[in-house]
Amino acid sequence: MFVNKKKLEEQISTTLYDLTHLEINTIIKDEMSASKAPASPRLLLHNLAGKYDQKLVSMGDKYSHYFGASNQANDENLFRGFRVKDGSGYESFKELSDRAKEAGLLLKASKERGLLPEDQIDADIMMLKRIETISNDVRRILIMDGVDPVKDDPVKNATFNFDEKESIEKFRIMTSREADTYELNLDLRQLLVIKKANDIGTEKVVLQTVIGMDGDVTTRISKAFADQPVTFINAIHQDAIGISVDFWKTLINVVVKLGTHIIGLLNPK
Amino acid sequence: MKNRYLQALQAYRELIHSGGIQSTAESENVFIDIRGNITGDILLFIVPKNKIAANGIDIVELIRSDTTLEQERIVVIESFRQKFKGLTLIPESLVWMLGISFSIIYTYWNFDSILTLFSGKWGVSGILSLLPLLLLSVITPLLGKYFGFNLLKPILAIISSIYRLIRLIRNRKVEESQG
Repeated sequence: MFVNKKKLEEQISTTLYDLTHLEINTIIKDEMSASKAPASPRLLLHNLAGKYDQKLVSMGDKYSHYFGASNQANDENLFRGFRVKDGSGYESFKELSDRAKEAGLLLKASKERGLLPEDQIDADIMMLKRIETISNDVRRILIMDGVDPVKDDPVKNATFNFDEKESIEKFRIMTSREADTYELNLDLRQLLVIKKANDIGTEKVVLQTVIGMDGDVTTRISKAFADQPVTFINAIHQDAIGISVDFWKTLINVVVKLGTHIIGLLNPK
Repeated sequence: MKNRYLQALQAYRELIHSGGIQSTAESENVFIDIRGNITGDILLFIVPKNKIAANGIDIVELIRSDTTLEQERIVVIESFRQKFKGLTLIPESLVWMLGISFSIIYTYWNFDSILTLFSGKWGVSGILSLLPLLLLSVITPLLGKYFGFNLLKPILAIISSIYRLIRLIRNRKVEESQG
């Protein structure tokens, strides 16, 4: 019973953090995608892995002029290298995380030596950090007990490997009932983490406000936006904060009312 | 009131289908896309229209030169606010129903004391018995702020169960139509 005490404590503390903090992100996207995000968590992860790989490749292209030709190993393996694991399982996200980590270290070292132009390099290092962190979060979810039915079932494990694209393609054309047996069993919090990661993807967050129930309010502003602020973006971000806080306030009022009712009931004669 | 229920129904339908709520607007040069989830987190996307973006014009310039953007902002924010408001209906109704249940039980338990109070017979012991209630009423809002969101979990679980049930029914239908 007490074996998973640490895990339980971690789960409670992360759930509490999620429920006691609001996060409002304002993002500038390069283009609008016409297709809707898939409902299946497995396909969401596959989308996310694709976005991360694409970003690593495009960043590799961007910096290849500086060290691609002089260091073939980096050119091949870090930014632009072929994906060995082209699916979206545990190993695929490990590979993405490793690539982002190595690429980040390379950029940092090159920046310190003055080999790269200063503009945008900090934003790119942050993007690589985001890819590394979220990939690790996804791995942590995937390795949890009961999340991946394929990992827990030796028969399924022998025939399906979601680190390979072929398995994803097979999964995509399954009937809903069959697909359900291979689908990830995520709780609501885990699903929200994956959905949010997929929504944000590799887009630029220009403004981020985190509001804690203890009264802490943190706003992060991207350097590019701080240099060139736009009144409209500020105003719409403020509107979104207002909506989020109002929603929260209503829910707290509901909880307080409930508490008052219960106390009223328990009041001694 | 009827409008509010319709609004709530629409918001929950969207929440169950897509796992969140969303409002979008299109101005001269950009799209505005706002997405929210049940915990109150909001993602706000500002996206240039494809054709204009392809010309390599800066997004900041697009926003500054857009004459309909302010009007669209008001529309999209209002629509999103209404949807979020709809989401609070279930917890509010739940508490309302629990409140009525508690009041009935409390009245049943304390029927004699209530009758005595109505007859105007006040005593020291009666007033003392009210003090704990007073104290707890002050503490409750404070405790509610720290622990209150845990009460949301059952609501989230109910929504998640409804979604699973719908998925199960839908799967069965697919299977029947194939079989």
